[in-house]
Amino acid sequence: MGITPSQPVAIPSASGAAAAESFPDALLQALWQEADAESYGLARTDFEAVLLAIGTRQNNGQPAAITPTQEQQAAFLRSLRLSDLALARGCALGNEHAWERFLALYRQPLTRAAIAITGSDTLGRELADAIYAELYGLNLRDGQRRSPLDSYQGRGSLLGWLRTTLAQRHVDHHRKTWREEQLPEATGDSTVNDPPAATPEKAPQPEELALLASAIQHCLVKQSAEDRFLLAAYYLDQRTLAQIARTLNVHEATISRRLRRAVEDLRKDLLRDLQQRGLSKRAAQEALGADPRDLTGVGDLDLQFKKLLQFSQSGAFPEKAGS
Amino acid sequence: MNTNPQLDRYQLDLHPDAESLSAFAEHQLPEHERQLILAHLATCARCRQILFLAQDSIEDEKPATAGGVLLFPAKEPTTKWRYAWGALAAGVALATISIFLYPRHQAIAPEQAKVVPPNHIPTLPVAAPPREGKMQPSQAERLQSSASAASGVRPAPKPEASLGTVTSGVVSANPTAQPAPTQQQAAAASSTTLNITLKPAQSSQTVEVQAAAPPLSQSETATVNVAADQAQLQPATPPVTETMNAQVVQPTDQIKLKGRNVQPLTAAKAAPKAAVAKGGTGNGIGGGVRGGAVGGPVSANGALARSPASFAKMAPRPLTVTPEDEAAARNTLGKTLPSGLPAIATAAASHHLLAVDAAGSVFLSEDAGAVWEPVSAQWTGKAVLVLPPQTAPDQSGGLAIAGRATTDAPSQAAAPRSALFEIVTDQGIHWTSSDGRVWRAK
Repeated sequence: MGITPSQPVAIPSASGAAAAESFPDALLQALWQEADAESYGLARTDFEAVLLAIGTRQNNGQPAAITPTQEQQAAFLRSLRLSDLALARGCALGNEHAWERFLALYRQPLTRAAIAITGSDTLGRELADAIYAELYGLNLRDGQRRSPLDSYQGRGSLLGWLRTTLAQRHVDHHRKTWREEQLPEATGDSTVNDPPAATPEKAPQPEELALLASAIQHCLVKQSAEDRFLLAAYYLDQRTLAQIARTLNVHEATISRRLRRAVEDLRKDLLRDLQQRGLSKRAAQEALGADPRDLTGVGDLDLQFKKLLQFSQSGAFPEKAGS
Repeated sequence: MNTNPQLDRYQLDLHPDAESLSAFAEHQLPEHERQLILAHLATCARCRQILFLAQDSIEDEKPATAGGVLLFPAKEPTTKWRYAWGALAAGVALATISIFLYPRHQAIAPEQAKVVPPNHIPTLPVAAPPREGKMQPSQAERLQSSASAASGVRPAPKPEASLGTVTSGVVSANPTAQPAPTQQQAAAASSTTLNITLKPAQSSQTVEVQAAAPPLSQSETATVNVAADQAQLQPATPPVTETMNAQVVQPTDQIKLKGRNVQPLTAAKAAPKAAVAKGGTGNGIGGGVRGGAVGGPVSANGALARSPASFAKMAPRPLTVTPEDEAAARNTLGKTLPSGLPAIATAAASHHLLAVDAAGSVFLSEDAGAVWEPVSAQWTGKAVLVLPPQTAPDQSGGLAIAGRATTDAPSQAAAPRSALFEIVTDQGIHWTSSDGRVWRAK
């Protein structure tokens, strides 16, 4: 899987989205005062431009095919973290008061988050210092000072955005340099360090493997995005039920049930798909026991199929240590 | 290949920016965009790693919440445990209150005291405390309120306290709870003034009691050295000298304790006649005011802890040696005790007969030796001798002042072997008791 630099993803907007070129004066005035944008050096017109850009980019929170109404537009704008947004834009503009406020609010949390992400006090402080310089706009692009704070749009908290940015920088740095490290762990590909599989009683034929890989890809695509995320997070990333539950804002028991159901459904779909492709039921079941490392053509879906499929009929997913 | 139109629209080769990921982590995305992010996360290990790293860093700071959203709804056990903690806190508070209240009644239990005869008075035999001062107003109020409560009358109007001096109120005691005054007391005065100075120090506490009986000049000052148990003193009480003037107005049918600001002991004049009973016996005020105990025991913080009536009931009566007691002691000597050994020493007073056998065990009988009960050894070594209480003629003139401490341990050299049983061990240590059961080292 190719590593690409982090770039903002533009959600395609409908042609008629955000047709309004300006906001009602009363709404804009209320939002401007609520954000306290004036104290950060943002004039009302500047703030209006920022809101317009965000609304246009996000289609005011509506799917691309829908043209938002004025009420939806107002509701979307009111749902934004306006004070955080004004602060971020003020910092991006280099406003001194905004930076004082930013440092007062986020200096300690940012350092703690960096230490938590890197797992090291030294590396964490280095990461935090680097992100400060980046946020301040020391990196020039086309001769202009550019701050990542410009990309903050106020949908989440500014602190959450800062944490995610820190994690992005750390992961990108790690992925660039991990090959230089001597430790064999943290390869990013969990199949590399797996012990060699036992010699199968009957080596699968290449045709069977190709058939199986195609069936797996077909069945996985039919799974919902959330189920595929659950499978990947649990089996590939070895995340705990608690971690996944926190990410999806549900109870970990719910995650366990969803995982069990997803694996059972996947296994049934695979057996059915393989039989539809001409395999007998027994041959399809034997094919499910194939070594996943023999599978080709699956692309990025590097699931541990063997583990996934062979243990699909077990009970509820046990909580892993550390959760 | 991809049949999902949303996935077709979504650029899988690119990654969602920090804005989208953080909004996803904080559950702020609309459903359609959330599905896009989930679809990307299902196939992108990098973004999953970023997401979980950012999530873990939140947990380090706020384990239970993120973005103001309660991730885990309150569980029933948590709620129940909250109530359990409340109950536990209430229990601890109750125990704390009990601990603070208890020493107020027992503060001077283990104290040792010395009652100086009237003619030897105005000296301060104890080391000077680190700092002297008047009793604090709060203590004075507590004294007043406690005394008022003890007497069962309404407290006097709140006194004006200036510079921390003590102003006490008037306390009237129910005469029915007091023994009848003796002839000396009745003849001495109908009004008695008590000047009490409390000087708690680190290792000892001095209670100076001046008893005056105007207008008949029956004034007396007694110095009581109280070896205060520091563990039972109020920890927050600073080591100050507390001066209290308590005036006892004793009409024919009522005894009043009145307090006002007084000078230290050095200003007190000794009365020619002793109104203080030497070697007063009994706990609390038992024997304090001979024939009419007045006032409650003064605790370390100056508060009157118990009512005179309650102490009159609790305080053991002074031991007296009657001819019957002496005869019982003589008859028991040499007789076989329940241990099978002969009694080598006996003593009797107030129908309490004590005997020591050859093995050093002590036995007590309250029926002239008919039934014996063993006395648990509260001393080290063996008891070799038991001595009867040595009573002294009543010279109190009707007023004997003794705190609880004076009766418990009159062990100072100046005090005679007063009205207590004594046991001498083989190590030469003397132990005293007022009832033959509970013994204290002398």
